[in-house]
Amino acid sequence: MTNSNVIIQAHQLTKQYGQALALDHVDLSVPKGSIYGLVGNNGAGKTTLLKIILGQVFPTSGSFSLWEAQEETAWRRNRRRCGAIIEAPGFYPNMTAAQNLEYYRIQRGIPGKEKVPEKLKEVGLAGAAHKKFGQMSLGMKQRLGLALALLGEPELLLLDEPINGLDPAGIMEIRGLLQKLNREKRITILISSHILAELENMATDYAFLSKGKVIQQISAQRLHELCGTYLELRVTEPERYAALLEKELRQTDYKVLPDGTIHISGQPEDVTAYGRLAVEQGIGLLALERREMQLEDYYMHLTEEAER
Amino acid sequence: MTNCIKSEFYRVFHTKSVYLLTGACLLAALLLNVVLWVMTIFEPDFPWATTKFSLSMLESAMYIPLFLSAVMGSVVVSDELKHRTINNSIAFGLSREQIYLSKVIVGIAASAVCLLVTEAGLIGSGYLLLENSGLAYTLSLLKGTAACVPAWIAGMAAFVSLYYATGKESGGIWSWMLIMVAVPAAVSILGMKFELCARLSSWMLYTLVSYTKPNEEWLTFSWSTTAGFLKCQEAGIIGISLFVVLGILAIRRREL
Repeated sequence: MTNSNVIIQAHQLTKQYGQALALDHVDLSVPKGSIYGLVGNNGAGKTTLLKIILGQVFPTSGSFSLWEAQEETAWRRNRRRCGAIIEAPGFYPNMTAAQNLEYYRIQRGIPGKEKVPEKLKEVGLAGAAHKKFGQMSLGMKQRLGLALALLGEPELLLLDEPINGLDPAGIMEIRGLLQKLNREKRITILISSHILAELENMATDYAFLSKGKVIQQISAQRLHELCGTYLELRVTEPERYAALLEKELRQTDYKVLPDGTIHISGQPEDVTAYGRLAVEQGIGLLALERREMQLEDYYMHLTEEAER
Repeated sequence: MTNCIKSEFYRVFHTKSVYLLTGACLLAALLLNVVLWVMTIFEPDFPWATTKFSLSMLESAMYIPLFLSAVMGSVVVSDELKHRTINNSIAFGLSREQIYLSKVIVGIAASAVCLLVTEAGLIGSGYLLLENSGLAYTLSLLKGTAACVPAWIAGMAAFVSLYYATGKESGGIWSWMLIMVAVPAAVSILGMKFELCARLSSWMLYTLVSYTKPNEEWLTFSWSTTAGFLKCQEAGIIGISLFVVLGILAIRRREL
């Protein structure tokens, strides 16, 4: 991947709050045009990572680039090409939705007063333009946050749990809007969630975080391959069996778990060949089963492995 | 920076606080003159119903606009760390210095509007309702106002700086009271015993703006002499420089 195809590149990014390590030597690449899902439990470091990129907190060590910019002045210039919602959207509670957006429109030097009603309409808040922010529901606040993020026609959206507080119809609507923006305007989206299912069918790439570390970066396509059907084998000599798998059956897409269980990805046509291989080589076959892994199971499994 | 200042103007003048504060100050000024005028109805020889007395009331209380600068500072920052509105500005690429300076500049402008309206109300209603004591007292009030402007700007810069340093509006208010009022008052008291404290006190903003002493003619203020006037300006400029540096350091270190 050439640098021009990468919008965000983090290298060994670390953030420490007192004794607590919020980000632990994170390496991450966000490709241009992707919808990049950051998945992790609460406290995994997702928000901290986004805040560092947006200049809200300072990294303890490591570096990152934003459109190849590597220092504060250039980061600030490039942040003007971003839109963001981090944590709960922040607005002045005694000002209306329209006034709050107008305030930021002026601050950002965005020409055209019509932008404000336009963006409110885009996120479904046209009828709430004159409602004070302090009187809005959580879902409406999230929508207003998204309107602000879209106000400057960004090339990159950084969204921290943007569908928090939305009802199921609202979730579908916002998800549709994000996909449309990515598809039609080629906006790159870095979106975080602690629920993998929220990002399913939307993200093109994922990074899984646990306890401040990126435990895996994977494309959606590869993730779906891994999460489909697989064979689970338990044999008496897993290491020898693994070597035979590669040598005799030309199978390289497998994983030996710490307890010795072997997972073979994909849908092998001749399942009996795997059992035969063990028997012929004098390896005890304890179990052979076809299984299916859900995305959540995959993530849970990955997290457990990382924490072990 | 210009856009940042414009947006702050938009916000400050689209909320009620500035109008309420200005209205309250104007009302207090008008009320003073109305009360003095009403007194002449009941007591025709009432000696204080003059522009000399009315205007001197404000001139001898120039610490009130100093307090006003802290109140206006609070209106301008609007507890933005709590509401996380500053996060949006930083995320968009505004520098922390731009944010700090735009708050101070708009706060000064809003305070100036409030003070001008109040003084205009006081002078206008004074000439309408009270006995005219001559132009000298109006000019004296205007001179006093000009002398105290740097101190008020320093007061505004101090509040915004202390807000970002403490991270809370209440923290900003209490530390401002401590630094701008309690410490100068304590140094002034110590100055009665120690010469060094007396000299230090004479440079403190609160001491300068609140100094009033009766003389044979009427009242003496810190700015009554040319040297005193210049001292007010110098102390104000030193204060502005100190608090702006403090504010920029505080906001640069602040994580959101």
